[in-house]
Amino acid sequence: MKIKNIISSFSIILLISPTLFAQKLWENNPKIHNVDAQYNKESLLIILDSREINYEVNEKTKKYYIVRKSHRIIKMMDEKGVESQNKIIIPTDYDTKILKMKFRLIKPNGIITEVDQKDIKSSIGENGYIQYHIAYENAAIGDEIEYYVEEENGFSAFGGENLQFSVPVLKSSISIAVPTGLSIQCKSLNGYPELKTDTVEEIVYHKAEHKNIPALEDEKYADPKLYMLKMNYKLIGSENTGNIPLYTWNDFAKQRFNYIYDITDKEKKALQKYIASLNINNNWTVEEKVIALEKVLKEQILVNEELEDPKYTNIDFLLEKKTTYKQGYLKLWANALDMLEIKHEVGFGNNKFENVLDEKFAYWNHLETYLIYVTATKQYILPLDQTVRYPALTPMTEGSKGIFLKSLSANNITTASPTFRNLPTTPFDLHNHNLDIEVNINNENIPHIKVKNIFTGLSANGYREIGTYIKKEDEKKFITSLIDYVNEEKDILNYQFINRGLEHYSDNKPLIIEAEVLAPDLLEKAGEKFLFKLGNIIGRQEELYQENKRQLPISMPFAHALKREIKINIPKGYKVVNPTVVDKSLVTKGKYGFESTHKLTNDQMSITVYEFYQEATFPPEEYESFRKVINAAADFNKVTLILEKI
Amino acid sequence: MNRKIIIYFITILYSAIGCYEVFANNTVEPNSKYKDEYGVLKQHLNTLNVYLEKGVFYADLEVYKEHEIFDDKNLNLFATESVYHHFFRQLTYLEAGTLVPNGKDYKKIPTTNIKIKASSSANVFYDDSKHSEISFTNLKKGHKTYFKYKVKFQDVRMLQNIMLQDNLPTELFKLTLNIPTGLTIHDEIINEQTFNNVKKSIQSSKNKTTIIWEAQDIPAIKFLPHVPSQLFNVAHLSIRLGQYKKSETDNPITFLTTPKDLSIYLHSFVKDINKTTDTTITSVVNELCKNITTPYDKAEAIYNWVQQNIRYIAYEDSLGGFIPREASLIIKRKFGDCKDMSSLLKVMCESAGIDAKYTWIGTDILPYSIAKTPVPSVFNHMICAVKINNEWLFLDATDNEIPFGFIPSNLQGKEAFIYNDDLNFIIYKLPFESSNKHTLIDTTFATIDNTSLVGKTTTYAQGSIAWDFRMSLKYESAKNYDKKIYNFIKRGNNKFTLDKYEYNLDKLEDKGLVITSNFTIPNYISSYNQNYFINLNLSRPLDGINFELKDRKIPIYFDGVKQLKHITILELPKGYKVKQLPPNIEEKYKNIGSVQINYKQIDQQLIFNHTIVIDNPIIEHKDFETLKNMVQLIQSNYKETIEIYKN
Repeated sequence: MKIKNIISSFSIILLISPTLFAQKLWENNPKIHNVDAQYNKESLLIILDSREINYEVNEKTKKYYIVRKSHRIIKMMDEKGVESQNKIIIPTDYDTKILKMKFRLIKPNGIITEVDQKDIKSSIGENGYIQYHIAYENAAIGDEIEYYVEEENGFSAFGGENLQFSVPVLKSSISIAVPTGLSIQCKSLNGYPELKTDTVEEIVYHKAEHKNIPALEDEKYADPKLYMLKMNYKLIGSENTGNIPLYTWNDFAKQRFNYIYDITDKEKKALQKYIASLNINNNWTVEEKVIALEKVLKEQILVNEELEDPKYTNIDFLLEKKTTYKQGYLKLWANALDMLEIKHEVGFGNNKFENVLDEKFAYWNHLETYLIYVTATKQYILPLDQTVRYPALTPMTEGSKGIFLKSLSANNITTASPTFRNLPTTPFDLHNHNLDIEVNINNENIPHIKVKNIFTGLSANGYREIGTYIKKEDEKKFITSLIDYVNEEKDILNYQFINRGLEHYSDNKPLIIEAEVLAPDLLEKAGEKFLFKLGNIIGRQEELYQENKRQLPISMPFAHALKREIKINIPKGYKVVNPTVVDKSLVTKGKYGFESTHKLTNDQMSITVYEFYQEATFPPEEYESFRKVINAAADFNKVTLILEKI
Repeated sequence: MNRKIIIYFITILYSAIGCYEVFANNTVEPNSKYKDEYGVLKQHLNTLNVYLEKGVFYADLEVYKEHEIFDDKNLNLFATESVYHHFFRQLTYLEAGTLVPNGKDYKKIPTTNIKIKASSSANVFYDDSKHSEISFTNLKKGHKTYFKYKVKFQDVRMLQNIMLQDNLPTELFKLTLNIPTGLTIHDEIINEQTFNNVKKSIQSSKNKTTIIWEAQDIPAIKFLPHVPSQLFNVAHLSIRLGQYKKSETDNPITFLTTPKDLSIYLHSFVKDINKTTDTTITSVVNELCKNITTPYDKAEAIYNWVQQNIRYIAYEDSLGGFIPREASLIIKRKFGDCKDMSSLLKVMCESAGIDAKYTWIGTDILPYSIAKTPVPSVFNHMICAVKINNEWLFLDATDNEIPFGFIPSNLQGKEAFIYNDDLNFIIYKLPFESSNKHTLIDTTFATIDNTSLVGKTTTYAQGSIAWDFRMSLKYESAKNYDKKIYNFIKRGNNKFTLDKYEYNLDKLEDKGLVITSNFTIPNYISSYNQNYFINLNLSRPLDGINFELKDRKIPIYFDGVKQLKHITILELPKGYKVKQLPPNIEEKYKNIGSVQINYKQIDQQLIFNHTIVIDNPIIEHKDFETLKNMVQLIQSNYKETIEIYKN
């Protein structure tokens, strides 16, 4: 039925991180917490966020499993807070068994209302597994909700906890307990305290506490997931295996290598037949072969992460079905390259905007980026980026680090060792979005503009896809969004795309979107004078006018440059009376800057607007100078030329 | 039992029955008229069988959809499909796969990749709706995907509309309706303006009647802006059952022929609720009304109490998605959905001696009329109607800010079904409110400081403009108030700087609001040689708006009536004069509203007044030219700049 016009997040905040905690803290007579006035402007305050992760052994099967306990107390400080917490959803995963759940609402007057277990509804979540719906009766501002969830999960050698949210946490604690027969290593990140170890009755406890964790604010040009407080842990040894180091990068390389390259004869035969059908000539260069292979694999084989049946990773089966999921696709790629005798190394990386790959801490989670290093050309293939073509990288992969499987052969046995590589970073001035513009003012006093948008390098990402996939009937609509001072499609006199097609990722030919348009909105009149809104011609620029105390380092998707060359043919009988309004130069330590200059003749004014960011990240201390450059571009949007009759 | 096994089991069972002969493969060559498309919906075949089983009517809908791929470039478009099902629409069969060319025919490659997932709706906390998500394999140019499914309607009054259009063009659409002889039906194509070339034929035999709707070359859905929902745009077919008479002498069974039948049906949802008196409700009502004498004031007190104390949490759980919960439960829980709040409001009002009714209504996103289409799905909302001094007032407590007596903008102009009992009801069209109740009077007092504009603003907002903003403040953290206020009153350009502000949410009646601020707008003014150029349109609500009227047949829908008055009072620097003022304009636009643009100078003050009035939120096709003229006038004025020079 009808929705209520409210911002209802269904407790997204709580879903950021899985649950867990210590039941001993569940007091029989809980008291409401008084909080410091400094938190009065927050919607929520997490009084307690306590998590326990216990490795336990099933006495019958002798197999390990994990019990996770989460205990949270959350004060609802305002309406937004109440609406976000008065109904929550507890998700589960494929191997989760909920052992215990308790939910209660505590009012300032001491009244406690437990949620009756029969009122907890369950449904199938978006991930296909059960989820539980809990709504608190009579929730109001100032109340606290408290919940405890205890769940059993299958064994996992790796785990991670995100410990910072968009609201403050007064007390956070984490405990990981393992039997003395197991060893784990924990790594705290971004300022969460390192976990300390204590052994009690043959259980080793790794524990840490942290107080007064500030809210992770939403900041522009920032990667909050990269810098949030978190803790990762992994199993590193077991008595059962003689306490040799477990789950090392070496193990990773060997295990993945075997998984990828150890294929059956049936798979090999199917692949041979498929490769033969592609007509890839042996005499071609490595580059030509890679490009040809990539085109067919990316266009013919569908990667669908909804699939679960492991058969879809068998090369023969996936080739028959023309469908697979990530692991199968990588296997197909690697063995196809082998069959074409293209030397390569398969690699794995993190999303660099969220996690850092650490050579000294072999943490196998988060290796969601798949990479292939082509030895002969020293370039990379991105198999999972379906629209990107060799050797182009993406903002997420450029400059990131990957672990690669370097093959080793001895005594007829082939295995792999890990090699870490930093993917290259292309110089900033090869990632361009340039503008080449010529302005005439027609007899009806309407600006008639010829404009070329020229994209190269990473700046072309996304636009190449639009150029390739857009339907003819939608092209004009796209042009009006790209050239934002054109309001109506009828004002587009003509346009063309040059070098459209994904193949130009390979040759990096610039994508050019050229158009001739009428732009009545760019000219205002003041009596007999004209005001030409020059600033709008470079498109709406991002701004950082509002001053806020900066928390996180500055991050842009990639280093880049923007050069705009504008020629204005001055109408006969007119002159530009304020040309110097264009001129501005602001360059900081040569790393980023904005510069606009002009040249004026009797009948033409030429303007060059150059903006560049030589690097993609800067420390928070540079925020003020960075902000000035961003704002200089936004200030240019306000530049107006005054044209007066001579 | 594992869900996949269930699906597999159903598939085997149904295949054994072998009832899909109707869906023979079709090997028509790709049509060149679709050359700009990635594919086409080749066949969209529906069979709706209505039948009697042990004296009860049921309906089964069998659907077959077959897409053909024209291009390898975008195979992801064809990778998945979903089939929706819930308590009233139970999935009994599902089969899907790919058809691969094999000589003159196609080889069928079934898929078993089917996952059942939750199918939640926006702002519904718990929803028992699900969708079965199918993943296809063997996708390639020239191949076809197909899926066929069967759903059983437990209640034949809950039949759903059938969409005639798809995201791709449809080559062949067919609906075959089989009904027992003696059963009448009512059918209607909604949005014929989008597509109307549907052929209908009827064949009757002794025991059954078959009605076929067939159409070819149906265009793909084209998403339109400025409509409350795409249901106003997409052509769809509504079918409802009328009456059944086994023989001339039998008494007829009536389904949904007239609104009266709908009333009888709705009666089943409310007949058994709120039968006992709840002491909590009585004591709350007594407390609320203890010093109040008039029914109007009592209703207002009750409405305000429910609005402030009952939170919106919706459980859409089988019949619970239709039957209001007991008022006594809602007052205990302090949460509920619209029908729960309606239930509580009705009981509380009655407890105070006020005549109150359950009232069903379709919000602005539904394009249906009760008289024309008397089916339950014309409603998606429930409110409470009270009759005071012989006039109806409508209480919708799901909205947190709308004061008593006002009608939410998404209900204005909509038909309310005021239920009394199974045979007595009123269909009441809620009026559009007057634009003078929804006003913004926004004044900027400014002086020139080099190229900056500096000054004060005063903003008075009333009606929906104020309520929307109050709502956004209410559900925002206090630490973000500065940002909210900034965004509400910013003007000029994005360098607008708020030096300080104050807001008052209690100064005006009917939850209006007042905000005052001190501001600076750097770089707003162009200058040279002691001349200043200033555009006094500091706020431009229609800047860049393009209604794309050219090929549009469907009305333009605004988000409610309103009056927007922007005033700029510029203090001219000493010794400066205005070169030339643009002309003053006052225009009325029939069936839309009016525009007033006025420049005047009083001593050293230049006063600019720009008022836009929208009296009618729905602009019909016949008035598009008028709308175009109105927008052009407003937007051309946005380009007027004043020159000020030193005398």
